[in-house]
Amino acid sequence: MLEIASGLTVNLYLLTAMGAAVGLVAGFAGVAGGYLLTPILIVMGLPAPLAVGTALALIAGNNLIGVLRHRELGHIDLKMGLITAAGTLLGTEIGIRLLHLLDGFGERAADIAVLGTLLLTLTIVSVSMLRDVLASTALLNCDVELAADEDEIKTTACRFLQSLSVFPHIRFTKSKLRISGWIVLGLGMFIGILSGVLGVGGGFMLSPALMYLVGQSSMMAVGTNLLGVLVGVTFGCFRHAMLGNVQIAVALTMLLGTSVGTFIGARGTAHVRGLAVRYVLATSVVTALLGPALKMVHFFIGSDTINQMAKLVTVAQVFIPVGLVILLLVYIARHRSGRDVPLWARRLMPNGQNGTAG
Amino acid sequence: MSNLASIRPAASPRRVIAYFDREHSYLSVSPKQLQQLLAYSGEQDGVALMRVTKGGLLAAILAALSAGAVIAAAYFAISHNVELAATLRQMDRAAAGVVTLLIMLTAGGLLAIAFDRGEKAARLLRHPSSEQPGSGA
Repeated sequence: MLEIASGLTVNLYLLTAMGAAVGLVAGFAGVAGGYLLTPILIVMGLPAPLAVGTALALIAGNNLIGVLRHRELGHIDLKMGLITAAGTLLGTEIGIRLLHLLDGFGERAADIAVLGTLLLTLTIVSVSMLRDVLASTALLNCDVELAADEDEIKTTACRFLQSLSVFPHIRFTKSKLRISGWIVLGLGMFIGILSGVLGVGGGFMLSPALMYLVGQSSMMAVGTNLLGVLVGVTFGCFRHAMLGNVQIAVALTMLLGTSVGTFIGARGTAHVRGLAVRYVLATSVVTALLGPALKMVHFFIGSDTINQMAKLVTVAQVFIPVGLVILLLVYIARHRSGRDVPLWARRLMPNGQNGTAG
Repeated sequence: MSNLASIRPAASPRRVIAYFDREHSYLSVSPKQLQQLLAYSGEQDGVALMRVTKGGLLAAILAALSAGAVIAAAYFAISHNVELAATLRQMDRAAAGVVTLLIMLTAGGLLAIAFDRGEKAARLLRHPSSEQPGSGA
């Protein structure tokens, strides 16, 4: 047990295990995992500012591992990552100042504004992801052979944005696309503002944005997003550490767990189609809607039962994507050793994987 | 001279199976390792293989040292948690921010090295007998 403050202790084994679970989803779906970590730390007894600061410090360390891992796998578009990161950095500062302004209208107004923004963003991201995932699943169910580049999604918005020839129209060779640099910078800035207001890393918003708006393939979006988020998270960690909001012992202990989880999760992406990554990300984003939605109901109705339910759901929602990733990794291992796996799981693995050991 | 008799693709696209006729042994290697093996053409294959093994051992040691450093840092932070927090509070705010960030990024970097080297060590030190023909490798 680790004593954080007088009367406040946390179980180190539980911290490491929870870190490993979050790391699995973070590594697999290419998100920083802040929106999963912060509620866990709050439920484990850390005050909210300490939980946010510690989560950001942990993500900064863990994101570096993820970035290096995805770089090795060739999943990072450095040019796009750096432009996005510049936008995110600028946006985060604007977001933090905006939150400060909102605080002037009263704590309740700020809470409702933040929760409302989070709900709206999550709903938009969830609807886009669900539409795409359901369409891809329908194709798979009809036994339609997907093309080799099936994880490159060309939505109407993406085609429109790519066609806008606003100077500088940059060719991103690694991502095999051309788009205006302002659009990528603006996108990073928009995500940065949301991330500054909501106090999260922003990976769960940036990753789908890179897929559906910019037109990156799922795997490239996963790696590039991590690079973009790393800069914002590092800045956030620095700001919180200045305020004494970081528990280094907790962050280092959890980092040991998250690093193992991220390593396994990122390795897992090499053995699945891009669709599997989108499944996990979609599940993660859709379930992340439940807690804030209940919390919003509590704000308007004021029921304590709903407030308790919101806390319970916030923690429980973490385990749904974690369970899905563990299930997929088990099926990948079974498939690679030549054993039977359900049809739905086999369809999420590349055609080249014929069940032989490698 | 090298007695590398043949190479064939492995199940993993990143590896090939090399066959050495003098030792009658199969070795699963990455294209880079194969280049290293072929570069030692003036030496006995045993020496070349030893170099690969030595590389694997060095990678394993580096991985263990990196992971050990982070575990030791975490242990120190846990056992001196209160003093550590007090020291950071007494520091200048910007300095405390920089120190915290450096600790976390160094720990992340060391763990990244540990996983990378650990993976390399496992690959290089894998026993050749596990790569027999017909085993599906």
